[in-house]
Amino acid sequence: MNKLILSVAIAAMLMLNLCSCEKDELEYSINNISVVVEEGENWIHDFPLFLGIDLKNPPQFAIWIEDTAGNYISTLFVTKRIATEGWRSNGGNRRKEALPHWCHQRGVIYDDGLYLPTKNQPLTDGISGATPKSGIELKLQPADYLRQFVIKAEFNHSIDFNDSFPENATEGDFNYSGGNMGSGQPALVYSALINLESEINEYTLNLIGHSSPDGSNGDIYNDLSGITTADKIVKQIILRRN
Amino acid sequence: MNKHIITFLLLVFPSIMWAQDIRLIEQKGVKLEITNVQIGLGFKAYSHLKVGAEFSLGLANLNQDFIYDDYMLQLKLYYSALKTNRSNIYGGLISGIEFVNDPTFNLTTPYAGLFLGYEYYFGKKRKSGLSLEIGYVYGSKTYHKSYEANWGSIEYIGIFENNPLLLGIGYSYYF
Repeated sequence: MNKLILSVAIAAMLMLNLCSCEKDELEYSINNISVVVEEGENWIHDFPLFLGIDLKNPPQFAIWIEDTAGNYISTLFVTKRIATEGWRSNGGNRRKEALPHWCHQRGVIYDDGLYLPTKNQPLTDGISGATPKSGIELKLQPADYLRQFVIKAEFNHSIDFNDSFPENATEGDFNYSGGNMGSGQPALVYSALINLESEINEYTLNLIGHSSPDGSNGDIYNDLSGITTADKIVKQIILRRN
Repeated sequence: MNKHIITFLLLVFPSIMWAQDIRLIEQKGVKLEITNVQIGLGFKAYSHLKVGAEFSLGLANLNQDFIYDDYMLQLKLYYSALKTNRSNIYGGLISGIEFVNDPTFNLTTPYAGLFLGYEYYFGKKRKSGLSLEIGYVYGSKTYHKSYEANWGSIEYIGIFENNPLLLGIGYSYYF
C-alpha cells in the first residue's frame, strides 16, 4: 500500500513538472535585427546586505534608439529597478546617478522633478525586465522608414567605488556619485550608428564616455581615466542583421 | 495555472486521505515553515514504513524584491533515515509550482529538487517538532515580452530561474 501511495505521489510530482514545461522559441524572420549584450567579467557586483552577506548584483542598464540628430525615439529595454523605482536598500536615494544619459535623452520629468520613472508612474515605452544574471538578446524590427538610427546603451553598478569616485566624495564635487548608496564609478555609455541602407550586417557599439557622476545632467564625458572596473561590466554589445 | 492546481489537489489529497482511512499513517500533523523564499503552511503525514509526504502552500519572495507577493504549492516526499521518539533525520524529494508575480512579468514555474532535514520532537507527548532543512531545487522558465510602436517593434526572451538553495526552519504540531 505504501508503495502505491509513493507511486501516486511521485506521479503527481512528475506531472507538476511535465505539465508546465512550455518553451518559447526565439525565432527570427528576414530583416530582423538582434541586439546581443555579452556580459563582461564585472557583470556581477557584490552588494553588501547585512552581517557580511553580499548580494550578487547584476548591473542596471538601458538600451534605446535615437535618430541621427540625437533625438530620443524609444527605449528598447531597461532594467526593472529603474523602470519601476524598484530599488532596495537605497536609503531613499532615487538613484538619479544610475542612468542619467538615458533619463535625460528620454526627457520625461516626473512629479518630483527627476527624470526617473516612479512606482506609480513606471516606464511605459519599451520593455522593462528583471536584470539578467548574464547577457541578454533582443529582437528589433524597425519600421520601413527607420533606415538610419543610433543605438545606445548605458550601464551602471551601484556602490562601485574606486579612488577616483570614492564613497566619501563631497556633494558638489565632480566625483560625487550620490553618497554611500550612490554609483561610485559613473554609468558608461556605448553607441553605434546603424545604417540599414548599407551592406554592413554587424555593428559593435563603442564606448563613447561616461555619464554625469551625480546624475545632475545628461552629458557624456569622454575622459575615462578614472574608470577602473566599470568598463568590464559588458564584454561587447553587437547588433546583427539577420 | 488552474490545470496544475487541480491536478495537484486531485492526486495528492486523495492519496493522503486514503492512506489515513486505511490506518497506514502513524504520524500526521500541520507544519509552519519559513524558508529563504517562502512562508508556508502544510499538512504532513508519515507512514510506519518511514516514508511520508507533506503538501504545503505559501507566500513567497521569488523575484528577489523582498516582497512576499508570490505563491507556491509544494509537495515533499520524505524518507526517514533515523527516527526515534526524540528526533528524525530524513531526506527526500521536493517539487512544486511557483506563481511569480513581478512588476514586469507573471509566470508559472515548476521546480524540483532534493532536501535533507533534521527534526527534534518536544513537549510532554512529543507532539511538537522543530525542523531544519537544507536542499537544492531547480526551476527555470523562459518568458516572452514584446513592445510595438510606430517606429517598429522589440521582443525580449527572458529567463526566470529560482533560487537553487533551500534553507528552512519549521514548526510542526502532530495530532
